[in-house]
Amino acid sequence: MKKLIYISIASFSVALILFTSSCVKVNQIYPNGTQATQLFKDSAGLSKALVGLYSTLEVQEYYGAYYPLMCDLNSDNGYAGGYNNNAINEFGAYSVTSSNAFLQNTYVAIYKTIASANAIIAGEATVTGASTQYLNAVKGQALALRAMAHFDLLRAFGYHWDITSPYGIPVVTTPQTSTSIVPRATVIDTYSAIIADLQQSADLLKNNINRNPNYVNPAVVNALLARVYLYKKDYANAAKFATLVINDGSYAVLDQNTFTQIYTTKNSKESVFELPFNSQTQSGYNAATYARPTAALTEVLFALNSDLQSFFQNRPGDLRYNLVDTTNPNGFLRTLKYSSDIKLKDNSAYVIRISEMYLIRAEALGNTTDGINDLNKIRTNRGLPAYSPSDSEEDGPDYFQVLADENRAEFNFEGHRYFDLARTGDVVNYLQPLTSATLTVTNSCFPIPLREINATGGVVVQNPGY
Amino acid sequence: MQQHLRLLKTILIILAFCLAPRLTMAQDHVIKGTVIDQQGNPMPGVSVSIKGTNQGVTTAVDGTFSLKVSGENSVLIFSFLGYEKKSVEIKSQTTIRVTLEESKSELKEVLVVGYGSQKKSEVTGAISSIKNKEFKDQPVSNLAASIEGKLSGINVTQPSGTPGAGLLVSIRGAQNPLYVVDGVPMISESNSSLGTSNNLGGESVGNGQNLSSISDINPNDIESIEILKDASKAIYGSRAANGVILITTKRGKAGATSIDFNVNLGVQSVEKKIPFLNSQQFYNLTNTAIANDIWVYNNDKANGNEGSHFALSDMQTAGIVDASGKAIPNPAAQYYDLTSGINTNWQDQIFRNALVGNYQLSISGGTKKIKYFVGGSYFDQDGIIISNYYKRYNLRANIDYQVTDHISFGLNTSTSYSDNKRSFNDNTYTGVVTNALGASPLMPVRNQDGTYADFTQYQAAWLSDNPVKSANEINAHTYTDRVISSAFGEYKFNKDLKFRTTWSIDFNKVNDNAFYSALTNDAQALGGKLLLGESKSYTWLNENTFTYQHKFGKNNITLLGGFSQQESRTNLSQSRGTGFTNPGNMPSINDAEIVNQKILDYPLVYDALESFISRANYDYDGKYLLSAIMRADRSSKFPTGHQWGYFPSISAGWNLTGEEFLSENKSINTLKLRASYGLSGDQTNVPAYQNYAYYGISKYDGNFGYVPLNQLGPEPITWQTNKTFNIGTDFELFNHFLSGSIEYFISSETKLLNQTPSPGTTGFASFYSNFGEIQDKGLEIQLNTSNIKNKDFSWNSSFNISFLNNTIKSLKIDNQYISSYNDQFQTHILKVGQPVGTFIGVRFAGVDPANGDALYYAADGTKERADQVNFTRDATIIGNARPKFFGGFSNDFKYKKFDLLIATQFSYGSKVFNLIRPTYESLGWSGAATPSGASLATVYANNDTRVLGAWSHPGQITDIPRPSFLLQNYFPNSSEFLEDGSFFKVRTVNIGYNIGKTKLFNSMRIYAHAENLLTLSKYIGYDPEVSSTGGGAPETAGVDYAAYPPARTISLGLDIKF
Repeated sequence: MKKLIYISIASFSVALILFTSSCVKVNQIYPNGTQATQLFKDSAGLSKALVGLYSTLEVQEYYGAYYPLMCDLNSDNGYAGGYNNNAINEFGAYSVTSSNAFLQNTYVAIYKTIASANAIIAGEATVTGASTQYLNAVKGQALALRAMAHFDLLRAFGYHWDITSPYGIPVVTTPQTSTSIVPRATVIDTYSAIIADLQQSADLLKNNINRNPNYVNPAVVNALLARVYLYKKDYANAAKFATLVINDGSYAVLDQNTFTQIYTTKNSKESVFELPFNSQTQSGYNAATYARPTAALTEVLFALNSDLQSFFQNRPGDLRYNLVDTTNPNGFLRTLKYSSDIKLKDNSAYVIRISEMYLIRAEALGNTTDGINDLNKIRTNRGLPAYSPSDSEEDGPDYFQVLADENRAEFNFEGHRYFDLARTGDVVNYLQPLTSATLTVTNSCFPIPLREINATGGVVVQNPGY
Repeated sequence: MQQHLRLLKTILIILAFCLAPRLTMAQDHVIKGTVIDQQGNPMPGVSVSIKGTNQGVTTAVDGTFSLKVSGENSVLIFSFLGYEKKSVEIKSQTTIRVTLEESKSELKEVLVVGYGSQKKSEVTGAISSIKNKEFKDQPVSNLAASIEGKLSGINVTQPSGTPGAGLLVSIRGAQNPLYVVDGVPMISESNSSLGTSNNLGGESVGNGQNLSSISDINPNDIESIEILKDASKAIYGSRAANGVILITTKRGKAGATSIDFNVNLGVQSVEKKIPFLNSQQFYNLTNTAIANDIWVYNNDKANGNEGSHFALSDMQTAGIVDASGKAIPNPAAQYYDLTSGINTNWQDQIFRNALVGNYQLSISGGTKKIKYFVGGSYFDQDGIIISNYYKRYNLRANIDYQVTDHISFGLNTSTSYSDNKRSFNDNTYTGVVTNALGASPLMPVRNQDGTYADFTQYQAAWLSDNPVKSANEINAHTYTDRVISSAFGEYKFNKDLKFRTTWSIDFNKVNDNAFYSALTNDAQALGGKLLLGESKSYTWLNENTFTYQHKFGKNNITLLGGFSQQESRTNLSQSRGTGFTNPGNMPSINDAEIVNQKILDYPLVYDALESFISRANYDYDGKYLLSAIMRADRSSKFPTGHQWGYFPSISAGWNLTGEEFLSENKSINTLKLRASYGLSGDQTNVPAYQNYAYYGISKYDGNFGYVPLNQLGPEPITWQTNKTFNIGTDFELFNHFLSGSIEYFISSETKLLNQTPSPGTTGFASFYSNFGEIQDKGLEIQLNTSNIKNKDFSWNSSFNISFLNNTIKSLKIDNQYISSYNDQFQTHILKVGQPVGTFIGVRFAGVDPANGDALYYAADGTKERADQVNFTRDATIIGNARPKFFGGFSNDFKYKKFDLLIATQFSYGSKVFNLIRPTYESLGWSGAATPSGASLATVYANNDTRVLGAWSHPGQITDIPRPSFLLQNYFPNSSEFLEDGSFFKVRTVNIGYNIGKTKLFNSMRIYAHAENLLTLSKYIGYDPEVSSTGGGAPETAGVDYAAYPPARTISLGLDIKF
């Protein structure tokens, strides 16, 4: 009896002691990661953050598939599939509205890359025990990726074709707090920020001789510069940096017998910057464009427009037509670029290929012997006859038209077409015949997501016309 | 048997006393006696006191007592909770036998109030209560079904007919209440990781069916359910914001052993099928649509608007007119082989009549020292969709041991195992139901050779697979092991003070195994796909309370104080294997060619809580009541310095019937007024580890790295605080004919703990913050009448109705658009001044009688066609998912040995967004996003028979637009598909016959039961109650994307007590 009283009192006391000594851990730290403030202490943490930065490129909303594919869907290359999904149909009809869910997710995903890069750049200040060389190598990569992300945002959401326009994008170069609001920069200021980052990156990475196409190296930086200068219509610089990449010697245009290996092997000689995927980190390209041999249209979000088929039908000999699947039993067209690896679903993202450098230089140099040589470098390796200057006589095709067609033939379903049409002012010309929606210059870039306008209290302004 | 012996013994004792020589009457004498109930069973624990003194005893296990009385004309008072008080004058008797009658008054009931119980007459809070007898015999797996429509202020709906699915319980408009079983708060959310709303890439795009872990409790083990609706819930402080459901399970009573065997067996069938077009009508619809298109083109041309709908070339590309623009007769004929004679009714193929059985056996009884209840049950429910089932095994043991007068302890333990064979992708656009709605009637289930028909060969571009194939070839199981166990000890220091300590665990392991055979579309190219998910959750809880109860004069005081601590850990993992050479029915992941371990943001979830609890109750003579609660909670979810939350509440009551001015009033039996105000907290909307900014794990090129995981808001997050004000009255009138209560409340959720949109330039879409306010106001009426009560026949009615009004008062970011499926157009909006659950869409302006175009209001007020609608510009508020009022009405009859219960439920004024209807009312559309893409080989989907009434000639007034092949002549996210969700349901009918006591058993009852017998509603889909988002998120409530429809169940049962 007495014993039991003691037991109850004892158990109460034990409980009280447990309580006061906080057996319950009310200040628990997340065990499966690390605190932001703990990460940037040494080079080990820094290198993990760098891996993390690269991984932000591979999310589905960015180069995991949707960014390049939705941009192609918004051009004469793509055709909307899926379950009559309104968000997809808007791209297919070239009339995306600001509440589009895909657009909204992509916008945030790209800024996550920028936020990760900014954290690294700022975080280097607290890293101890790392060599300057190492710090420079990391910072150089972070700057280049930040520039690329800004550029990808600019060409999707800004008036990238008009350097006098105020409609650039918010340029973010410092770590943000959750309520920081950054207004849109002008287009010229956006370009300047991108170019400054790339130039600094080139300088920091200049001793890097590694040319692994899965990581940023000086050739990747130069290639990005070439692309950015082309969009900015600074042709001298575009040609200059394209030449640096072409002359780098690490890359080669694959010939007509082997060029499809771009899409079936990893890191072909064509790839300047390629994002690798594997069975553990899969990409969405196969599922979104191919799925399975006898897929129905509902199973494929990004089908191929019959306009692209007609385009190839007017290009006899172009071997790239073989990458268009016209035999699907369910009567719709799709690209075969990502049809391999049905099981592994590890199709790479082809961010920059050497072919693009030739075509950039061909455009930058114009209808000149050197320009034509660059253009023909691609044509002849894809089964086409060389273009000769006489073709550009009055009754023949225009040089720049041939070049634009070459870009379309080469880079369809790699996310170039919509931007190419926008920067040459051709969006309405090419896309209006394919849709019942009324298109204007407004449709040359996407609207800023409505969510963003609301979340910034209107500080980030909408593009005209949306 | 024992009971008989005991009775015999009592009688013998009484006889012995009677026969014994009479003792001379002394001033003091001992009186002995027995207290029995109306059935003649001895009643232990009855308090026996001598009037005018404070002497008294309680009856023993066998109902006997002995008491020394002085003086001849003493009066003994017998009282027992729930029974009418009885006074007996003692003259010279030395033995008496007293029969107590059950109390007529409901206010004598005892309610569980959290950390104790109270007489209903002394309760000052708004508490709804329901006893076992009002919900037993229902063939349901979820206890929430027991209270559907029966209690005011509580809206229980069935978002899905999936066996084992969660029910949506909303208490005064707030969802996800805290469930407390015998004092132990239990995990009630679904721990299943099996995605139920996947897109084709296998990514989850929305909340799907919700398997409730509440289903792990067997409803038949429950003795009573009490629901704390107002400030009385503050005793559960931090987790009580959405109301508290207190569940009391059955316990043994001292006395004879009672064995109860209950079995019921039933047949379920789908409540409603949507009538679909047959093969010929399907064929005709396409031809009508084509003919209409040609007419529209010519009509436009005749009116000088050539091409205003589409161009001649579009019709030529589609193959419906020839090069000269002349109609091609019967162009679609080659794609519709009517001669095949196939006319598949797909709903008949996926739905079936399914059996449900529930078997349970319980033994209870005990002695003065030991009491026990042991029960086991087996619940076996086949789904009304083919190859879907749910089986559950339960075992419960509740044991109480009274060691001495001072010490007692006990153990409650419940274990269960369940196997839920899931219906694939319930609630989304690739599910079994979804594919059946819209599949071509010309498609057979199987080809002649027995293989599944390939859906791509038949005219319904909508489908993602043959629905029968999906149902059979996707073998998805959710296995659950659950142990909820608690041990408690109580020490009574004296008659006033006691100490109680409780230690409990809640272990919940959920394994999801889903195998997609290589025959399925999803896995065809992969060689089979296996998804595995595991969630292991372990919670321990310790609570220690002192209770002091004292009476001085007419003052009664009860004080409660204590502390509690709780810790829980959940480990989660998910993996995927593809490529199986010899898979069988459910292969091992070790046999997969490729194994993919998913990187989860939070593979280990930890949270801890420590709390201080206190409550003081005071009453004066049972007339003036006062209660105050204070609880302090500290949660690990919040950053240091912001972890504590304090939740006080106060309430008062006044029993007017005790007052003189009412004592003469014959028509008022009891009347009580009460009011309460208090705070409670909420932390459920925020995941663990929001105390710092973290980096989580990610991978690139095979290497592990760190990537930003969360961002912190500008202010550290802390408790959401809900403030509730309630006034109410409880009454019994006209000689107990009418009783009930009326409540009015205003409740504000303040410092809303939720995700706030952040500028995307931060790299995050949102952060957690405490901002915003939502207000709920409501009126609740509960009335019970005892219409007829005589020896042979009785009839009781119960009616309740609740009016709720919900308004968003403030938001950090106004006008937030929300999607129910994150790859679709937004369906809802959060806007200040509107309720949560408000729908946005384009307003339907009707059908143009001139040409059958569906018209919609543009933002500028003009009318535009479906292909001209700009969602972002034109969308506006079109309704909301909340009912204006809801309630239930039930009647309970007894005639001799027969009894009958009819329970109905009603709801008025809610809207349902029928997002699947645009598919099955696609009006012959080709499914192509642009007119030039139209292909005769595929039309979008089969349609329901309503489209037979579609626009067919100029001048016709109708709501159903013109069938069109080239154009989608409707806009899915518009009010055209927003429907009235009001309903009246006959939820339960139960008729029984009591055989009564025989030699073999004490009682036997046989009964027939019908569940969901009848639904009256204008809703076009299956059921207005269903919600494809599982209902868990009030922001996206009321969306029907072909959710699993509810079943009607007819069952027979037998209940024998030995």
